[in-house]
Amino acid sequence: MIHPLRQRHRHIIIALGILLPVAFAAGIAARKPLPEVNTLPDGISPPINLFAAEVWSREDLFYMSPVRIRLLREQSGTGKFAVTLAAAKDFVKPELLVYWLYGNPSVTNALPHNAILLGSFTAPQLPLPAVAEKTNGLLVLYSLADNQIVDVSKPIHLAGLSK
Amino acid sequence: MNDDFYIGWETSAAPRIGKFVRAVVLILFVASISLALAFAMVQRSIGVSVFEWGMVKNFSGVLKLEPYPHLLVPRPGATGTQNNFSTYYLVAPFKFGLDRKKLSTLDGKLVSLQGTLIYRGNQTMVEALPDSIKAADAESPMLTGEETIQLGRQTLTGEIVDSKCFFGVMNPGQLLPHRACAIRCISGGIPPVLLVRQTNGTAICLLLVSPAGQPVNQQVLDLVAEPVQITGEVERQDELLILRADPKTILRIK
Repeated sequence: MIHPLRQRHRHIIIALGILLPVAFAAGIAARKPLPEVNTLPDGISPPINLFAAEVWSREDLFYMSPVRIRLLREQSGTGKFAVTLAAAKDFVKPELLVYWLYGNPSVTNALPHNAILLGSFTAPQLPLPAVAEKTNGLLVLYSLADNQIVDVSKPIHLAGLSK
Repeated sequence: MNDDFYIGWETSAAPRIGKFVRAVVLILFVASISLALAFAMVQRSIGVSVFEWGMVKNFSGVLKLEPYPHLLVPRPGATGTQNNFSTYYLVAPFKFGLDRKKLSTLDGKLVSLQGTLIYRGNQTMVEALPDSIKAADAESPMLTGEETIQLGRQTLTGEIVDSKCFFGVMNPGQLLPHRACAIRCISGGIPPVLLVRQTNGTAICLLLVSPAGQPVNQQVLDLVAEPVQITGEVERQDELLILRADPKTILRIK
């Protein structure tokens, strides 16, 4: 009496063992693809890259944050400067802004009054002020929502690069 | 003929059966671990977002109620060549938006408030304690950077998400697994945003309003968390992208 039941049980298990993974794979394959666009319409997308030439790229300029800084210039060897900042995806701070601070001042807890706003950390390019080409300076990462200095870079020298 | 027969109450199975079962269990164990790891590794990243739950902070800025409550916070050191203000969406605790009628006397004024930060990428939101929103003593800063820039009529493809969950309260606060929660949040007044994903992995969020700039929460509930195509007028207010579209014209992508 038990033998036919065991045989049926075995057949059911074999059938489920094949059908369930197939049904699961079919379900995954049948998911609607995420709607993605290649390019955003004009105006919505970030402005055209004005700073096309890379001068240098460094990851060691901030003391505590794993941020890569790329120094860019309008054209190779000439023109105004800009920086691009990039970090790992898990580097998230609320309303993170980037400032230029000329000279080599000691920055503690508060944002100095002479700090010049460059823009949002997520901006594709942050043009540097003209003063940056004449004197050394620092980049400061400042979280506006936390009202807190996140990090200060080592001194950056552009004077030698200016023509 | 093989007479091996499994008997459950025996201390040990017949040798051939025992050997077979051990091999099968070992293979299944290795296969299941490998499959689980492989499956986990090919999943999409859910993104990094933060809800500072339990951390109440103080904020101050200019309260704007249209199209949805938001706070314009002056950026120190702004020289006028960039946006002079940061924009924080404001919502109430749980699944509710702020009551605009109660706050109408504070519209356009400098206020102080307490709340909890929610943020993702360059999007920032504050879950404000409604009773903490008060007029500040100082005069409101000049809203010189607040002019609206028209970006024209655009057709955009994306997903309607509830901003509060997507910006950090839930993760993943998007797609079908989050649909029921998103519908409850949007019906409660949380601003709906159109999430437009790009193939390079980045995304933008556009605040969704009617052509007249009014909330469309109740009209879009049926379309939340599904691929949609929306045509409307896009404008930028500081860092806030706004999409003015008639909810009746929103197309569900099959």
